[in-house]
Amino acid sequence: MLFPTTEFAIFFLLVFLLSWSLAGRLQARKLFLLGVSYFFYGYWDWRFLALLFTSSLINFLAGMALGPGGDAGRRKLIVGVAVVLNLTILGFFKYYGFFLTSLADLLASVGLSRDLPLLDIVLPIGISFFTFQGLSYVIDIYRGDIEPVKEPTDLFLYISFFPQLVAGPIVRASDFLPQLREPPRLDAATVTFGFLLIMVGLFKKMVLASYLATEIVDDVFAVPGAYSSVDLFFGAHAFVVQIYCDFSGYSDIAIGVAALLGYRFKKNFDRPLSAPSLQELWQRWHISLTSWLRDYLYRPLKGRKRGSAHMYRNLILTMMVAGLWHGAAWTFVIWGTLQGVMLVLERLIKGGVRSVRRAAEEAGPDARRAALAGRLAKWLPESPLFGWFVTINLFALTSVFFRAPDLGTVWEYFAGLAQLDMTPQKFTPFVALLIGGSIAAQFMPSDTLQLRAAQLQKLRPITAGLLLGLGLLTIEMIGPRGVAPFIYFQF
Amino acid sequence: MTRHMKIPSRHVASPVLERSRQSGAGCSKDGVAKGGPVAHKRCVRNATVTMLVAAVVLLVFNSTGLKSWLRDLPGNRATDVLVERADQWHALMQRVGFTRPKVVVQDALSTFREADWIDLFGVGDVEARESVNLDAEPPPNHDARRNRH
Repeated sequence: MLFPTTEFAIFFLLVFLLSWSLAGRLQARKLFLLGVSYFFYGYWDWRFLALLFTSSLINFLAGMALGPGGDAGRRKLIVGVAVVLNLTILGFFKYYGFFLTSLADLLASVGLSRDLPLLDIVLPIGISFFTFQGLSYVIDIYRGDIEPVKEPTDLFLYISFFPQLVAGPIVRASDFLPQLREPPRLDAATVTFGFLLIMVGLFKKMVLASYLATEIVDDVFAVPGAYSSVDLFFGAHAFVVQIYCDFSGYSDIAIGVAALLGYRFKKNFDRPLSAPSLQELWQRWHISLTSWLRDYLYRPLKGRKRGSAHMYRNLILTMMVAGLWHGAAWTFVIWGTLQGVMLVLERLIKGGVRSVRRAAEEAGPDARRAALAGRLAKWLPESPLFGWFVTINLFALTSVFFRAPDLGTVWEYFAGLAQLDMTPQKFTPFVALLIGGSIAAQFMPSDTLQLRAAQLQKLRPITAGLLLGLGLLTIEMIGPRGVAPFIYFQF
Repeated sequence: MTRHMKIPSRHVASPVLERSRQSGAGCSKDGVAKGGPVAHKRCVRNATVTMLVAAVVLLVFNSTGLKSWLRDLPGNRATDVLVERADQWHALMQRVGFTRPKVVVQDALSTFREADWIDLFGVGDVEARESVNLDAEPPPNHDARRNRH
């Protein structure tokens, strides 16, 4: 059941009415939301309900066994077992084929070809998201940040709550579980903000992402050799905007739907395509994943404490894992590694720029040294606009690895770019407007939507309904026909 | 109210929304926020009315969408009746002229979508679209990737 469908609209209207009719009975409401979440997940493939249940049960039992205190060794063992079990489930369903195929290739390359037990495994939708949520629950209990739930319903609902179940955001137990313990409430600001977010999310997905996919991205990545360099260059930029609109659109709808049911999720994207540096871009892109990796991978590796070399290694390692999280293919591993390497280079360059500027200031009476450092400092660009320009272009060009189906296509893509053929075929004024408009919108203030929501909350419900209806109608009218699945469903 | 203070959220608990909430958590008859459990219930009712009005707007101006959606449902006696009713509804909306805005908007957008640089600014290669090398072989797992997306 995709968000932008009539089925989901009917489903949500019924869930909204019934869940609020149970607002006075907290436990009944949670059971109801758990039931509809399992229905939502089973609507794709009911066989994976057992997997979702097992994953939740493992984490619930691990949480119970960990408890609020106790023997440190025993706690370490329990959290270790829980992490291994969670990662085994994820590894089997998501990475089994990839590792076995890679092993077979490796053996074949050294003349040891073997028939390995390859299985045709269907990837359960949203497995990476609910596994990471389960892991965060167990690790937070182990660290003493949260207490284990007393009611199994709370944990099962936390892991399976339908707005975030299949494509995030990755909600933290410490954010969500306290909300389940208190009676849900709804206010005018949340209602307006929820509807506004849903409408913006639908526009991003059904209009911007869909058009960019059908007008340029799918074609240039299918046969890169058939298109000019200018098409390929803007095709890569179009893909970045497409995936941003696709995924942040899903996150917006999920946050809006949860808000209308009385729950709050944190922001998952914060105008990343206007970031003046790669570091800032990654702080604003898929925030729930990057902060998860920071808290549960980068920091335990003691990123900063063992000196620069360790920090840079851990940064690259973390980004490599982020790449692998996105998909079981070498293209994703290379993409993640490239992001890590670029982040390291950016830090080194920034460090170098700071040193040169400091040298220019401290040179004092040494006129020749001061003049040299001054010239260098002048030459080094410090404008955020320059930073943004470099960042977005590097991010777009490396995203070719993310989107291309294999390394052969990546090389073909870059070979086409290098030909410097400037005849646009797919890069039309319409595509330029979609890319340019989407990126320009990222420069609006962060609280633009909240401000609009605060203004619109004074509207009467009938007027608000007319506006909502006209907004949805416009999206339906101007978007291409049909609804493609969200890209992040595959992750 | 206190609940919003306890659990900070970067999205919903923005300073702007917090100010709105502090002026009152619920919804009054005229839509202006007021506090209290009655107002909270009124918020639920207002949100329901908003959704129902939006649904009516879509039923009126997007009867084509309703017709196509019902036709895609698995066939049985109930859906047959619904499809028949949707066809009648769509015919009525066509007669009244409510389906016209969608056609007009789609035509206008289609003209812009198909415009080339030469149409707008007089620059670009008009034969470029025809010169696309469609004989080039797609990569081996191109279809699989497209399906994934």
